[in-house]
Amino acid sequence: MISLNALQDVFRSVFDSPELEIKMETNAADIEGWDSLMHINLIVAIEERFDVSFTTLEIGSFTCVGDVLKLVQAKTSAA
Amino acid sequence: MSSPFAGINTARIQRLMDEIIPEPLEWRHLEDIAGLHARQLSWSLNGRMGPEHIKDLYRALFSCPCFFGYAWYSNGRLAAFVTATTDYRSTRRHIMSAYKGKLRALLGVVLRRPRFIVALLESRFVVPVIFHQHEARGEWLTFITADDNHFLTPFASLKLMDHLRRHYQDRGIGHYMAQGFKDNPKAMRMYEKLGWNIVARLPMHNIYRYSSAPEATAIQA
Repeated sequence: MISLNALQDVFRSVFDSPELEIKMETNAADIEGWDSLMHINLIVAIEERFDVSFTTLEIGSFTCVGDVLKLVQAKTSAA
Repeated sequence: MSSPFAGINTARIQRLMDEIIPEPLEWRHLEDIAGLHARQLSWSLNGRMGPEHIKDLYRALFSCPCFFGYAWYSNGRLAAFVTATTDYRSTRRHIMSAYKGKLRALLGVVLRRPRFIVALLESRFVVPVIFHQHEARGEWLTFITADDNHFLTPFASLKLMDHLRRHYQDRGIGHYMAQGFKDNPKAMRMYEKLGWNIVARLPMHNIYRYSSAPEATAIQA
């Protein structure tokens, strides 16, 4: 099952911040530089890293990192 | 323009953007867009003049034939919209009508925040000269997003911006301008990341020039 650490690696790569730590409740307000364009890069990077595709409905339901992780876990375990 | 998504699989971005369907603005959207504007830009000069003034502004804009825009609703709620004009001179005349009879209210706002006096003077007298120097007709007026739904809003933002660009392109308008208020640094950062061309830096505003050519889109499909 995909772990928070695996998702954290994607965040670190996208934000180019090797020390970045995320929690389940982390959202855009908690990470410096998480603006609109970084957000798009992040969603695409998560899709590519875990070989999943989100719908706009799913993305619209995210409120924090935990929501993203749960959906990635559900999609990868169902595959 | 260099893409802010260099090295990223833009086909994935395009796929998600394709699911977002903006609506052309009509009178029926007025209450929603004025409400979102009043909530999100309450710190601005117009915002400080109150929600009724914002409605007056959009009534004036909708009465201008050159005014247009696009809105995106998510789960039945307005989540983002963009407005613009194909003739900034005509639209600015319409906008002036929204201030009629409000001199006292306007003075009340600007005297409490003298920075707004400079902003007003720039907007009224300097910005049109710069637009004229660039032989522009089109002006991007507002781009506002709701706070909620933030995980999806960036995709909708790109979609709305691209609709705007296409609108100009379809009408043979090769470029359009915008004035960005410097007190909104988040928006300034986004514009600059998208590679838009700053043609003038005024004390209170940056002036941008955008191309409507297909290659000017942030997403190269």
